[in-house]
Parts: sequence; C-alpha cells; structure tokens
Amino acid sequence: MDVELIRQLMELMASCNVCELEYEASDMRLKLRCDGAGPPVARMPSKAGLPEAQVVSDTPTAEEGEAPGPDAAIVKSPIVGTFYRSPAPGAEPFVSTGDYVTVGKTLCIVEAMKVMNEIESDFDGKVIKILIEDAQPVEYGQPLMWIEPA
Amino acid sequence: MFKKILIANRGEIALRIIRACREMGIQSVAVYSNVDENSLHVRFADESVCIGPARNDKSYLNITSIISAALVTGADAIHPGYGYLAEDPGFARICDDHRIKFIGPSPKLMRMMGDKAVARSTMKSLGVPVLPGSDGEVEDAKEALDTASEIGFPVLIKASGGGGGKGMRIVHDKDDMPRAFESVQGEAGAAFGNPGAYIEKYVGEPRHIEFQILADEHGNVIHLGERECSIQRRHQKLIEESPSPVLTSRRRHSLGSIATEAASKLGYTSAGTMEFLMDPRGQFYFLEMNTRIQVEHPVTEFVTGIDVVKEMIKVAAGEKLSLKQSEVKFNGHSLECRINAEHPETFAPSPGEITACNLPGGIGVRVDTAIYKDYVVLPYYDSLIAKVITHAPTRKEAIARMRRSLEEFVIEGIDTTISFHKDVMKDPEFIAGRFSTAFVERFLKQAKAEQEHERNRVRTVHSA
Repeated sequence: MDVELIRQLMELMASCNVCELEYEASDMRLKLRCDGAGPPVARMPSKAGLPEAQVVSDTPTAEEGEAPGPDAAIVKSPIVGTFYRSPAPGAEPFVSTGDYVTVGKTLCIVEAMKVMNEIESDFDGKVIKILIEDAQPVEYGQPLMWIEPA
Repeated sequence: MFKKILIANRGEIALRIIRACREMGIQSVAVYSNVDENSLHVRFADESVCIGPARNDKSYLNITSIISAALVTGADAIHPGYGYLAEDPGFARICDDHRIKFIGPSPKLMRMMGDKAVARSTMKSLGVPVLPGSDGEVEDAKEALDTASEIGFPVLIKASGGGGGKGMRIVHDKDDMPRAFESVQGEAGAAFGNPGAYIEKYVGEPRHIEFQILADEHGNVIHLGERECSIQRRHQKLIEESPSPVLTSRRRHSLGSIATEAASKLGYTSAGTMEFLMDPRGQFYFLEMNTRIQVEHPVTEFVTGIDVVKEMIKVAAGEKLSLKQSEVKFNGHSLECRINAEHPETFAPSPGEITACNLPGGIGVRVDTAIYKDYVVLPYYDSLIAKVITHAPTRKEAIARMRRSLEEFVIEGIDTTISFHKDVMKDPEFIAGRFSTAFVERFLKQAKAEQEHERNRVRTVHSA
C-alpha cells in the first residue's frame, strides 16, 4: 500500500477542487471522496471482501508549497516514462517549490527508452507544487507540477 | 512463461488478448490514447498506461511511448494484435533490443513477407504455386510491358510495399501500360516509401482462400485448415467462413501441406496466414503471407477448438505447440460477420454514441466486441465494432444461426452494417456457396436496382 501515492492523489484532488476520484492499478482499487468541507477520505475495498479499511488523512496541503490559485497552470507529461527531478542521481533538482522559472527553463526529465527528455516550462512564474516523486513512472498527460504564472 | 504482457492495440482484439492472458494467469497491461479512457480493454487489463492523444501516430503507432510503457510497467512481452505495429519489423527489432519479447515472427521474416515481390519469389523458390508474372520487381515500364506481353493481358501491377489490396492496378491493354506503371510507382513511393512494383497475371472473379499456420521455435509447423474470405468490399473482408464451401478434404490436405512445408523451410515461427487466390478453374496461387493474428481467427478457433492467441503466446515463450497435425480435427462449420459502424448501403462511417445495445448469444454464438451501451464510437479509429461468429454442424445451420443472431443484435444511435449481413444471409447465391470476390459489388448493385424498381412500382400505383 503506497501511502505516498494516496497523499499525492489527495493533494491533487484538493488542488483541482475534485470531490471524487477513482484510481485503479494492478493490485489495488482506490476511491477517494471529499466529504463536504472536510479532507478527502480514502476507501479501499479489500480483495477478500473484508470490511472496508478507511484512511483519513491530514488536510491535504503539502508541507512544500501553497494551494494553487485560479490562474495556476499544470505542467503535464508529454510522454510515457520515468520522472526525474534532477539531471543525475544525487545532483541538485532542476527546480524546487518556491523557485521562480522562466519560459524554456528545464523543469524535470521524463526518460523514455533511455532518452532523457527535458520538460521545459511554458510559463514565467513560481513553482508551487511538485506532484510526482523522483524516479516514478508517469503516463501521457499526467500532471507533474503546478506553476503560478507571474 | 511470460509474467506480464503489454497489448499494443485497442478495441476488440486488445480485449481478446487480455482474455487469453487472464486465462493463462499472465498479467496484462493495456495502453490507450486519452480518448480511449473508457474502453473495455483499459477496464479489463490489470494495468493501463495512457500513451498519447487520439491521433494514431501519437499513440497506438508511437513506438517510444509503447516501449516506455512496457519498461515502466515491467512487461516482458508485447502482443501487437492486428493492424498498427503488428507487421512492423522495425518495432519488433526495438522490442528485441529492449529484451521485450515481440509476440510474432522474427523481424527478418516480417520484413521478407512485408515486401510482396520478395515474398512472391521466395514462395516460388520453395515450390509454392504463384501466378505467372515477373521475377521479382520490374525496373521500368518497358520491362513491365515485356513481361505483360509474355504472360498475356490483363495483368496486375502490384506495389512491393502494398498488400491487402492497396497499391495495385489492372491493365487490360498494352497501350495503358506505361501510364499505369508510372502511377503505381508514384503512389507506392508516396504511400509505402518504396516505389518497387511487380507484374502478375490478372485473374477475374477469383476466390480468396487462406490457410492458418502455427509454428513453434522447435521446428514444428501445423496448419488449422482454411478460411474462405471472398466476401469483400474494396479488398476489405466482410464475411469469412471455415471450411470453404468449395474445398474437398483432399485438397485441404495438399494445400495445407504446401503451406506448412513452406513455413517450415522459411523457419517461420508464431501464427501466420498464407493467402491464396483460387481461379475459376480451381487452380490455387500464393498471394501474400500475413505475419500476425487475423481479424477472422475465431472461425478457425470454432472449427478446430484451438485457441490461436494462446498458442501464439506459448510459442513466443519458447514452448512447443500443444498438438501435432494429426491431432487437429475439423468440426462443423463456422461463419463470421464483421459489423462495422457504417451505413449498410453507402458504407459511410458512422461514429457516435451507442444508445442501446443488445448482443446476440445462445448456443454456438460468439461475439468479439468492445462496445457497450453509452460507448462512443470514435471517428479516429477503425469502424469495426463487433464480430459475430457462429458455429453449427453444417454450413446451412451456421447460416441459420447467423441470421438468428443478427436479428437479436440491436445497436441504436449509430448506423451499422447489421442489415447488410442479414440480407447476404438470405441471398440464394451465398447460401449455395456460389460466389467470388466480385460478390459484394454485384449484390449491392442488385439491391439498389430492386429498390429503384420498388420505388417506381409504388409511384405507378399512386398515379394509377
């Protein structure tokens, strides 16, 4: 059970004002629902039909970054691959939350078939949230980070 | 055996392969374009990865995305289905380079069979009958004319990179040769990136009969009999059946032996299909070889009881074929109707939302489809939405069962070719098994004439 993933999904929901989200992978199904003004509630139907486990999280504001405003832009992955925050293992990340970036600035790398594809910013602004952990797989169109245009 | 197979396709064939994986205890990964999010192949696979936007070249033909999806999900094999990357030797090579098993024959054989001129001369050298024609490609219009004069008009000019009816032209007269040859070359260069062309004797009103081959990596090759695919419109098959109404079991045996021997000498592995043309005198000639699973494989599965997709997966994993030729038994008769999201008379594509859907069922009926009520048939992809396959002890009963199934089949919200198939199932010539690849054209012309007649009759009655 990937608690980090649930946390990320909750953050994503809160940041996009999404009330309900279903997520499915090989070994798990996850349904997240936002109950009124409260935080999203995770419901995990267990495989053996046992009583549902409930995970109630903290308010989904990450320690890093602030809630995106109405003008915030999402940076999406243009390809399937592995997300890297830095040019090499152990190196400084391209960007961190709170950094100001300009158009053309490299934000991250998505590696596909051993080719390192640098993802550049389409905006001038401030990185307010990074949604993916380093070295995690991403699919086409998956949100990677939020940028608040300057 | 493989642990996880990525299916590089969509629609009914992706679902068909996922079903085989599931029964074999193999994990499956669906890939999809962002407009296919609500597709059944995404729903029923163990994992799914969005690989790009709607456009085929950005998603289902996007080799980088597909290989990357296989790598991030840890798939150890890729099944390409049919169409898309199924016959792309470059893709198979890249799979090899990444130690992902491509479920199909070797890139070398795919390349050989993909070049129709090379395939023809290779088969000829292996003792497979081919139509009279040029030895490989012809250089220019003059050589084309010389060859044509030798074998006699009419002839067909065929692009080496073509196949499946694409890139060819009939030439009836020597005066038309230079222009026709140059236009085939020009089109082939633009469409297939290969301007090469060859000449073959043209046969009018042939039947299209193909043999299903299965081969493992241990030198075992078997055939699963033939499929009759003469009911086509513009080289697109609409109805297939097995066995062919015109093949005797002796003939089946001898042609099957020719096909398996050739595949064996080639060192072919995986499932493959050798297509033959039968002329009105009953002579058979090799046309081309398809190095993939075919749309019409279910009719073969019905009459032999063999799961072709599972066998493909097993032999790709290095296993031996699960049976010998002598153990292949043919049982009864099977028919397949391809239901397209097209107008039943004009065949104009009809994308849109399916507002009501009732699939046929009952004894001896199989429906391979990925549609459901509320499913939206998208304009970006193939119009094939369902295959109805029936099986019965005799051809007559299989036709009756198909007629009954088509009556049960309800799709509302879009046009489909169901009513076309209903009409064909009532046609006396079809029922008698008397047809050639010219059947559909004649059938449609006749249907139109009858409609005209009916309209005139109604008008006459009204004015009287």
